[in-house]
Amino acid sequence: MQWSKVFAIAKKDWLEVRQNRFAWMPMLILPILISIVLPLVTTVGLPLLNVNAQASLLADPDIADFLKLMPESMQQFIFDENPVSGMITIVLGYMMAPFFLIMPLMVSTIIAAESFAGERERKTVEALLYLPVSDFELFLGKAAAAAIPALGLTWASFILYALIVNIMPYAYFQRIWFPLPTWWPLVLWITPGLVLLGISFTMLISARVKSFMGVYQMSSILVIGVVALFVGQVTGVLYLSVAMGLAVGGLIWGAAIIMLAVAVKMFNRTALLT
Amino acid sequence: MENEIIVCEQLAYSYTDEPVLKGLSFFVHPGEIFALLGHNGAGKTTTIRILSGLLHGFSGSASVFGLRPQRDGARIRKKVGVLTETPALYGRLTAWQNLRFFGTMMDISSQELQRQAQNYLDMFDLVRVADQRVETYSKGMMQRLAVVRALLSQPQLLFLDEPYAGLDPESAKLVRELIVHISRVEGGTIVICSHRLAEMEGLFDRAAIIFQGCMTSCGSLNELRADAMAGNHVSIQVQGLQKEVVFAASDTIAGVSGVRNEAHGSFLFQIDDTETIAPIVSYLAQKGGRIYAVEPRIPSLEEVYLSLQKEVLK
Repeated sequence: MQWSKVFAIAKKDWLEVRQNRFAWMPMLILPILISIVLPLVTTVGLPLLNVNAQASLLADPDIADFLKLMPESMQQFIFDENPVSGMITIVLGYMMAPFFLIMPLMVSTIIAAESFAGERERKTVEALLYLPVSDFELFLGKAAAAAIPALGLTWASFILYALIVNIMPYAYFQRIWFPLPTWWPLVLWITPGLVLLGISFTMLISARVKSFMGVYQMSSILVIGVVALFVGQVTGVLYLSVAMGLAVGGLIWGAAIIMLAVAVKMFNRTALLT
Repeated sequence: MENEIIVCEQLAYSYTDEPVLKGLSFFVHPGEIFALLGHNGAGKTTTIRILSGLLHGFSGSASVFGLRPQRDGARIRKKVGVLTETPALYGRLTAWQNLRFFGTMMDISSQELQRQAQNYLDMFDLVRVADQRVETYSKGMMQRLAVVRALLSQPQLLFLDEPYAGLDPESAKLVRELIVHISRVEGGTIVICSHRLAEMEGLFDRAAIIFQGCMTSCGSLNELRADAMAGNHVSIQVQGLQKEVVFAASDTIAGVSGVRNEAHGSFLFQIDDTETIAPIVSYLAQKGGRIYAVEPRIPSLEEVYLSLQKEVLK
């Protein structure tokens, strides 16, 4: 295994993506929206609302039942603090969590689709295939090109998000309250699993679908899973507690590893040329 | 066959149900310029892909430097430089970024890469645009840069797929001179795929003519001529004779198999060998013809190619 070549492929792919603003702009818009705009709007907007209205909302028996099912780490903020910090906890500490799963999935599938189908579409793949690298090194280089920025961007967004949601409403919390324990499995366990799943799935589709758009559209099917998580959270069917996060992450990793094994098996020069 | 750079025996391959190659056999000597000639879709590019270990699942056998492409693809590709059918360059990167990437992948040290790249960029008049994105280049400039990329690692074997595509006459001449230099001076082996026969004439040592995946002939140009039975011709400009009298030469003189009227009083005689020229001239003079020019005609590569193709179609 020649790692220098693996990284050279990844670097070249990333250089190409950087030169294509139509590829990187959508990748930046979502993180900016999730990690900056939404927490700013929430932390500035919620305190402007009538505090009594928030208090009565939290006192509603149906909502109270819904909230009581939430992980304990959140309940202390929701019920023990003032109504503003309670609402901020619900929105930024709970509801926003699935959005952080869309980000790595989207970034990894865009770059992977660009890297495989895009290269074939632009007819540059043949020169790459004539290089003295093994199929596996080629695969790893392409996977790294998608995985490193996807994870990097997600984690950087998470740090930025954590800073904003702690600093902006500090007056209400009077302490560093975020990240809540439920976020750690999400960011450190589920996110890398989703990146791997996104890349493996995209590579698998790339063997069949020839165009970048076709691959990207098909790989966006994966977002349905994240949307299901979001709906589950909002409706109270599924709470992303620490245990649940670890379990969901385990399932995602399992699916990702199976898909990766199939993708590696199917990835060969002949398949990319025919 | 032990010293041959490439040996192919009964090579056959199909992408779908329709076979692309149907039993191709040829070999390439060290230091030779070998041409694969054929129409688009004849199977030339597929042959290169197989020999480089890109396509598996072919039947027959192939070896390059004594290595098996199915098993030793990466080792073969390390010794080979390839000019692909399309330039296949990264348009969003500059020429330097392209060359740095490919150089790194081919294990060229950064110093050597800098030296070689500078040398070839200068040779192909690309230095002034080397920091521009390749997508801003003309087709000819891209092709020149693709040639630079193929030469960068100083490979022992060069596969050039349609090397003249998109090149202006000056660049085409440069590439031609470079091919000859690499083969004759540096001892490199070159396999050229092309359907542009006029540009290939006089360049190769031996060639294989491929038609619809089958090899119709293989050898030096003279051997191809013999195979094609394109025969020898002599063009004679004669005046003062009825056409019928000239045409009668084919019935009268042994070794003349046909006569065709060309422009300006010239007649083209198809002859078995050059010994037949003198009897024809005597015959025409005897009949009262005034002979102005006698020009033996050697069939061009294009005529040989078309003749071989016609034979297959028959």
